[in-house]
Amino acid sequence: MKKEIIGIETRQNQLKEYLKKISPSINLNELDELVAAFIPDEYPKKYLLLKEGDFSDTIYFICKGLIRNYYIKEEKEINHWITKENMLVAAAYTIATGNKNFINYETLEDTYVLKIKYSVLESYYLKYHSLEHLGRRIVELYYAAFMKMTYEVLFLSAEERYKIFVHQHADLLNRLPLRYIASYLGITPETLSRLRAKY
Amino acid sequence: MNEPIEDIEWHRQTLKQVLLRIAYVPDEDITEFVNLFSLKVYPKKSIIIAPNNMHLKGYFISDGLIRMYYIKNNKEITEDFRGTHSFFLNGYTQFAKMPNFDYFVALETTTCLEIEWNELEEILSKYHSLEHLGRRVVELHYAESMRVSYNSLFLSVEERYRIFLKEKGTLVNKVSLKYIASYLGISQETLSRLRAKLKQSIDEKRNNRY
Repeated sequence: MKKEIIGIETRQNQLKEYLKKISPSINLNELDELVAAFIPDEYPKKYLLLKEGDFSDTIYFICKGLIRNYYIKEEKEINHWITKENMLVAAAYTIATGNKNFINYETLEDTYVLKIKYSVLESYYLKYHSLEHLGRRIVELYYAAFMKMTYEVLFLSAEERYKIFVHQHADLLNRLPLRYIASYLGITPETLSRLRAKY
Repeated sequence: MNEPIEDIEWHRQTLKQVLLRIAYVPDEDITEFVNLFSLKVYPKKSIIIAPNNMHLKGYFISDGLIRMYYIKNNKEITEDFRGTHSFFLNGYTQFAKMPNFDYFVALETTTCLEIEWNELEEILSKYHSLEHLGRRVVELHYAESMRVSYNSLFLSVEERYRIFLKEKGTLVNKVSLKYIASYLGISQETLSRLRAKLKQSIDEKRNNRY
């Protein structure tokens, strides 16, 4: 893997744009200081970034790449969600509670990130009010995504969920093995093929 | 049954104590904050938040008990219970920006302190200490939702009932068994069998001791 594929400045600018969108009123000097504290890193395809049973408190911002998270139930892998560019990945439950993580996070492509320890991130929250506000907005955003997912699983059919998936992540259809999409929707690959033929 | 306490200052002091356990906030800031809350008493069985509610507020239960539920296939499914000294809000509308589909109902006379969400946002932008507190509260609630979801994914009904007893055991005598059954996703008959089984194992332990 070549580090040069995405230089650190490009990664930092990407992260700044992402955080500015979440909290438009953010103080730009403070934002610069925070972003400078992130460390660049890269992982090959099929790398297990976070493991079930771990206590990792690292937060990753995906600059380029793709990560699936899954859990194992009755010896079967169930795909929980997919994370792509311009999203954060962390064992949020472990960070918030100190309890062990239940979810595995695996790269599906070569993945380029900026990463930071939660304790370091929090020291910036405590230092600057505008970053503390950003921190609250980030949690609210991911809490919202969690609630939406809960709602969709509770009330929508696989067909409706497939339509939402296509609408929000059209680019992923060609990047993801179909069996992962099927497992995320809770259907068999055959049913997914029928849905794909229909839409 | 006790009459609800009408003195709002008493409730604000309670709220202050509960918040200070979550994070340190200077006295001046927290006093200004709790003074923004107003008092409301909900009679037993009244609806506090109905579906499609767009009026966003933050709620603190100073005294009482509520049930959160939604209706699916004409059946009520209990999401959770919240008792004295806990917080709640209309999360789906507030955070996910979608109309909520769940009900928040008082299971007994419930005294709440409430704050308008725009006032809350305003004072959080004014004081870093309160912004910090706000972030901690949201983080704790997010973690709690994830925990409930992981528990239902990975644990058996019996394990989930044991956790319910351990954490919310004080509610058992107040909450109707049908609500607890719907919270666990089982029939009332299955819950009765589970209760009998647990009681038996407790009795056996006791007998072995003597």
